[in-house]
Order: sequence, then C-alpha cells, then structure tokens
Amino acid sequence: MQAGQIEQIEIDLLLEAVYRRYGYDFRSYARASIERRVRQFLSRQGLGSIMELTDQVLHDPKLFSSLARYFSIAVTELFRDPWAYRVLREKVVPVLQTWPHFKVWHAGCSSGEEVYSLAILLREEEVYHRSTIYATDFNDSVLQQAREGIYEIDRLKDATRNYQGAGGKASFSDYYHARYGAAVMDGSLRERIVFSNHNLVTDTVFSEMHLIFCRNVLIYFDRGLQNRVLKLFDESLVNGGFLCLGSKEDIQFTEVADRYEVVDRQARIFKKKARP
Amino acid sequence: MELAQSDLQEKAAELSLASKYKSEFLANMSHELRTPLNSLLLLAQALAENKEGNLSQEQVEFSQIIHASGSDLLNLINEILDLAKIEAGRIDLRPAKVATEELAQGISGFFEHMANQKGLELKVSVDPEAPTELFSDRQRIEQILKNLVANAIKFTDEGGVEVIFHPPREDMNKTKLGMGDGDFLAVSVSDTGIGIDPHEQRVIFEAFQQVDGSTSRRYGGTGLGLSISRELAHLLGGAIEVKSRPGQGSTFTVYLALSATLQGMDPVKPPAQARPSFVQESSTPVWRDSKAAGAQAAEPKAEIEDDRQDISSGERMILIVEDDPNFARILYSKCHAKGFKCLAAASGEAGLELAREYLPDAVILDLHLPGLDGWSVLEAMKEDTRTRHIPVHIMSVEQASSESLRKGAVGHATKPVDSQELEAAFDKLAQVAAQGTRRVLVVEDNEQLRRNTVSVIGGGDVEVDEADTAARAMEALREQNYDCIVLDLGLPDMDGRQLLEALQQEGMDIPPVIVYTARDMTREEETALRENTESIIIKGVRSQERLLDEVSLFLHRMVSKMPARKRQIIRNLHDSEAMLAGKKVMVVDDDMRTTFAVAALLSELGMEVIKANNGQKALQLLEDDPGVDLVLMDIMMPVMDGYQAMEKIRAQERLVDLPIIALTAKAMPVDREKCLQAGANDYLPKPVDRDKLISMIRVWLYR
Repeated sequence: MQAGQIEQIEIDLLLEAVYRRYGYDFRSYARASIERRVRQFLSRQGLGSIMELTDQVLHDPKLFSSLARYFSIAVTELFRDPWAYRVLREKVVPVLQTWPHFKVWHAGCSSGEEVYSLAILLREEEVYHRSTIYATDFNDSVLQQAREGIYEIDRLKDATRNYQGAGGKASFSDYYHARYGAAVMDGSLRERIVFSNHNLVTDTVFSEMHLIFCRNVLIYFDRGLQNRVLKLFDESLVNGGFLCLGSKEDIQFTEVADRYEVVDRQARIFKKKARP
Repeated sequence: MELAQSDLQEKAAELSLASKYKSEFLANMSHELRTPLNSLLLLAQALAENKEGNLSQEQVEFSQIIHASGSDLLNLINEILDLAKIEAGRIDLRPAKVATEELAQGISGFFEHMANQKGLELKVSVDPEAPTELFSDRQRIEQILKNLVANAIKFTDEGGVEVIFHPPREDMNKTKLGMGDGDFLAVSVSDTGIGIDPHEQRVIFEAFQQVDGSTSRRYGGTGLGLSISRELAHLLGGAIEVKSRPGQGSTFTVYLALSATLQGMDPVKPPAQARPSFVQESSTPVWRDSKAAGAQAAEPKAEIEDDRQDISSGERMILIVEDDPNFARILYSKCHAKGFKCLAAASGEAGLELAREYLPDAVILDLHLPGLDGWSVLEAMKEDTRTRHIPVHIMSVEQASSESLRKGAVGHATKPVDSQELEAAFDKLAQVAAQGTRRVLVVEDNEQLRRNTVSVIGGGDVEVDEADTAARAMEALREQNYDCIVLDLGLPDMDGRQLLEALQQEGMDIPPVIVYTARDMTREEETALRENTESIIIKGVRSQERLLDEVSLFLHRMVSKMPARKRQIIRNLHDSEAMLAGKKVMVVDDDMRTTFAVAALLSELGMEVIKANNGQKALQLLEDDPGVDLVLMDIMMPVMDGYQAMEKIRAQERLVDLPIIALTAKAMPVDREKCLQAGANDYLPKPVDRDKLISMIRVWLYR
C-alpha cells in the first residue's frame, strides 16, 4: 500500500473521530481542501502524524476547536466581490421591498465582514428597518468575532475601495470607528442581526427566508453535501426569494437547478421560481 | 467504365436510402415498443405497491423486478430512438453562446462525486490558449462530454481521468476526420483504464458493437453512447478521434466547431405542419401500409366497454381517446377510482363525436390514432364553442412540448407514464374541470392603479372584476364566487382590515386575499393581517411582477389537497386528541410559516393558540395571561433568543413547572442538551413533524 493511501485512511479516521466525539461532521467536505488543511495544521502544531493528532483531538476539546477553526477558515472581506453587491442593490433590493418585512440568512458568515457589508447596503437603500438578518456559522469562535465586529485597520483600505465599487452612497468611514490599530463596526448596524450557531452539515431549516447569502462555503463541500445544503436553502426560501452564492459556486448541474432562474450570472444571484 | 461508375453511384444511393429507411423504421418501432411498455410498467408498479395487501413479499419483489427490467428496457429503447433520430436527420439544434470555462466547471461538478466514489482522481483543466467561447448547442456538447467522461470512469479501475479543453493539435487531420474548415475547440478525455485494441478502435463507434460481448456484461450499458456522441459531434461540425493501447488507457478527443453551422443538416428545421412530432406521416412506407391496411380491413380496433349506457345527469365523466385497449382499460379503472364515469373511443373521429354528444368534464387524448389524429381532435374541440372549455390532457409517446399547451391542452404526459404522472394528470383535470374560468376581484380606489393591476393579472382564462369601495367589494362578493381578491388597505369608506372582518362576521367563505398596499407596517400589524390574508405586497417599482406571481399561484393551486387533510383530522379527533381541546398553547417563533402551520394544526384539535415572535414578547404575554398550559419555543429569534427566554421563564417561581417544548433546527446532541439546560422539558427538531408534535404535547399535558 502506498503512503498516499495510508494517509487517506488516517484522515478518514480523524474525521470519524471528530464526528463521533464532537458531533461535527467534516466527512463530506471536499477532500483535497481537508487534506491540505490537515497537513498545514500538523506542521503548525509540530505534530508528527495524523494518528497523533487524532489521539490528542479525542481528548482535548481545545485542540479540537482550533482544528475546527482551521477547517472553517473562509476567505472573506468587507464588500468582497463588489459587483455582487451592486447587483443586490439594483435587482434584489427593489423586490425585497415588496414584502412588509423580510429575512436574510447569511449562512457561513465566518468573521462577519460580509454581514456588515449587507447591513450597510440595506441601510443605504432604506430597507434595513424592515429586515431581520440571521448570521450563522458552525464555529463559535468566529461567530464571537463576527458579533464584536472588530477588524484590523490595514484591511480598511481595500474595504473602502470595494465599498465604492459596490455603489456605496456615503463615506465608508461613517460605518466604523478606528482606534488602536483596529476598527470597530458601527454598533447600530447590529440592531437587526441575529448571530447564531447553525451547522449546514447537520442542522435543518429554522425559518422562512427572502434572501439567502452563502458565499464561498459550498466550495469546501463535496457534491452530496452541496446538494443537501442547496435543498435546505430551497426549503427555506419563499417563492420568489433570492439565493446569492460565491463567485466560484453555481446551482447549475445540482438537484435544485431547475427551480431557479438566473438574476445575474456573474454575481451568482438566483431567484426561486414561483411554484404552487 | 462510365457504366460501372453510374452503377456504383446508384448502389451508394440505394445504400444510403436503405440506411435512412432503417433509421426511420427504428424511430417508429421505438414508439411502437413504448406503447405496450406503458401498460406493463404501470401495472407492475401498481402490483408492487400492493395496495390491497394480498400479495406475498416475494410476489411484491417479482413485481418490482418486472418494473425494474421494464425501465431498463425503456432506457435502451430511448437510446436507440435517440440514435435513430440523429441518423434520420430529425434532431433540432439550438446554437447559442457557450463559454468554455462553464463547460469545464459543469463537467467537473457533475462527475467529481462519481470519480471520488470509485477512488479515481478527476482533473479538469482549460488550456490558456483554448478558445474562451463557441457558438454551438450547449446541451448536445454536454451530452457528448458526459458520455465520454462517464465511459472513462466506467472503464478505469485505478488511476484517474483527465479532461483538457485545448486548441486542436497541429497534426489534426481535418480531412481524415471529415471535418470542414474553420476553427475548433478540442476536448481530450484521457483515462488510465483498460484501453482498446487498435483494430477495435473503429468498431467502438459503430452502433450495437462493443469491444467484446463480455464487456457489456461486466460494465453494462448499450454501447450506443459512442455512436450517439460521434453523430452529434458530426452534427455540430466536428468529430471524435480515439488514441489508445490496451492496458495503457485511452484518449478520446472531440473537436467542436467554434461556430457550428450545423453540418449535414438544415439548421433548426421546424417540423412540417408545425407539429412537435418527429414521426411524420409520410416517413415510412412499410409502416404506413400495414397500419392503413389494418385499419381498412377491419373496423377500427374494438373500443373497450364504457359507461355510456349508464350515465345519469349530473355525473362527472371523462372521455378517453386511446387506441391501445390495454392502456384504455387502465385509464378506465383509474376514472372509476377517481369518481368519474368513463367514455372510451379508439379513434379520433369517434372521440370527437363522443365529445360533441356527451360534453364530458374532461378528455384524455392520445396523439397517434387511426384516422383523425389527436392534434386534429384537439383543434376541432377548441374551434367548437360547445366543447372549447373542456380540459384536455394529452398522453402520448410523443415528447411533451410547449406546443401542446399552446394548442390548448392543460397538460402533456409522455408515455410510458408512471402512476404519479397519471395521478397528477387526473388531479389537474379534476381541478380545471371544477374551476372553469377563474375570477379575481381587485379592490382599489385609485382608478389609475386599479386599471394597471387589472391589466397585469387579467387575460387568458382569468376574469377580473373591479371595486373602488369596500361597499362595492362586499356587494360583488355576495353575488359572485371569486378565486382570489387583491385588496388595497386604504379604501374611502372602510379600512381593508375592517372589510375582511365584516366579511367574516357575515360568515362568508373568503377566497385567498392578497393585500396590495403602499403602507409600511409594523411586525405586529403584519402578523395580525396575515391571519386572514395569504400574502402582503408593498407597492414599489418591482411589485407588479410579484403580484402576478402570487395571483397565478393561488389560481393554480391544487384544490384537492385540503379535504384529505381535514378528513384525517376529523377521524383522529375521536380518539385520544379530544383531551387536548380547550388547552392554551403559546407558540414562540419569528417564522410565520411555522407559527401559522402549528397554530392551524392546534386549532383544528380544539386548542387555543397565542403567538409571540420573540422571547421578550413571550415573557410579556406570560405575565399578562396566566392561563398558558404549554409553550412551544423556537431557539433562533431576534431581540431575545429561546435559550434566554427559557432561563427567564424558569427563574419565575410560578412558571417552574410550565411545560416548554423547544423547537430547534440544530441536530447535534450538545445543542439538545443546551435546550434542556436552559429549561426546556423536551425538544423537537424542525421542520416540525405533525404527529410527533401532537404526541409530545399529549405527553406533557397529561398530568
């Protein structure tokens, strides 16, 4: 048996151990990215083998949370992919406005940058007061970070440029206070945000949604899990509700593809067709 | 010499004619094969369901095997049909812009899982030099690529499959491949599989040949995929070539013309007589003769016995126009099961005559009929004012297309139909037959806006009445049944909400109401309004399209669903649920969908329901109303979540024993633990299962 195959077994065992011990299910994550992250985590922790890691993770919840955090690192930034926000502004918000109140689910919100971005956009379009935004992630420590809304100040330059690209109407500095090398997002942006723990792999529908925002999360999942999650979204969305995915994600070729029409291909925004 | 040459040409022409006849014959045979399969599959499925419970386990399994084998046979026939259609030049291509990157993503997404499951690596890449887009038929390209990649995965046990989109290599031999001039995109699919012997490489593209007979037994499949792919590639102005050595894997390369001028056929030729039929009447002499002879020799096939002697006035009846007596029999018993009397005709003429004489409530229509065909029957019915309103559902081996709906059919099921499709068709017919024209009432005082709304939703079989005051609206509602009301809230004589209340007090059966208003409202107002209305739309730039969506949703909703559920609940009430009556339950959830569904269910059981849309509201209500017997508590809510709310409830002494059932979307054991720790007596996963909810409520109220 080759070394590569042995590593596969080791990773299987690690994921199985994590699932049985902590209930977090990474077994259906895209394999290549899990492998890369396990290897990186090993060298960061100075551990010799995956079995060693498995052994320690089984007995050390702290080590598990840092591993879980490692698995869930998502690339995110304020107003990431500005064009997508522009499309939201122009094509989605006018429809959201036709509901007296609407709900937004930001699934896999990570450290929260894009939740605040969305809140800013809704405020500028004067519909924030009609919204409830659910920001969920399976990882409590990133969720805590999201709740605090404190980001490194050197990332604000890019953020400001993105904000303008996204059709921002004010000055971006209106939305944060910078101090001691950090910037904290304006607390009033949090008013209608509900931060909550939700695991897309194992948990179910919790509310009816008008817009679901789930960007750069599906890319870490395998086909089967992607379909599960998209079905979960489909059950949550109202007729005529919107789904916004990351720039490398698509509903084409998935089980729900024919239930959606494309609002904007580049921004990966889809609208659920009305069905009885 | 010249003589020999013309002889040769003649032979070649004969040969190609023979091949065309063969294809057309196959296309027709496939249809003919599907007709008996239709009955076979349906009956096998019905047997396997064992509704009467009189078959043994083994007999049920046998029926399942018959159904499964029949389905396999059907797939095979479909592939043969596909190939025959291509070879007979009866395939439509729909060229459009196709991005190379999207093709690549599609393939990778579609096959990743399959490859992983087999332990194979799937690499999909686009060469930077490759053309970024082409003008061609995306669906057909995907059909080719899927076929090649599926084959590669199928025939590879170890290693991997690599798909590269690239510019054609310089040594590409256009002439040898029979391709025209122009630019091409090449896609190579390489595997590390069993490979193919050189002298067999030509054979694999020929229909009905596999490398050796045993291959199909080991790997399954018809072996038609490659032939279909080759023909399709040719149609798209390209070709497929293969390089392979046994034991060393294979590389299939498909060349696709960047601008498919659709070689070898006329671009998108509309079928003669604008019918979606690919079997044209003049196509196969052999076929026509036998059928015509048969039809002339004897009377049209004997019609099955029907109920025409046994129809009293007021009874609902369906007319079946179908020349396959077996399928007609199946439809006949289905009609009876659905409470319809049944008329049957085995030819178009007889069908039309019966339709005019009996004016049935609905018609099920086959298209291929001896004599007058189904399309003509449909047209004739739609031209006759006495029969034009009768809903017609097509059931035919012809592929369903929008054509049928355009010609006035309410639906089109492609044979073989399975029992769900059959069920759906009957539901649809029953629904349309019951409804006739649909009426909508628009209540709006601003004339301009009212006219606008009317023009948005009116037309087709929807009739719209208008009212500019609440008084006029009430008048209209007393006189006439409506399927849906579009209601503005601000009316000169009465508020829209008061109007709804007044109607309720009159005991009127109010149809679904869509509130269409320019008014902002609070969450409480929205919740209150939603009690009597189906949906609320706030006017704005994009509100008209939503209005249209919602109206058509209500008009096309299946009416048949309601009574079944009601019946079940009435039956259940006789047993243990009677003890639930009169108890007061508080539902705490900000999800209106859940709240309303749960509230409706509990009210049907005679329970009283109060609602709160977050934890804080729940605490307030508990303070105001000491009579609450049980709380259903959602977890994820704004303002105050379920955990906090339960802790605060338990902190009050008088509420220590109040039963609380947490409703949670979380699945992990720790999360459930958390609910219990916060003070829940028990928890239920969302979405809430009706029976579980009732039994849990019963447990906690039974003290």
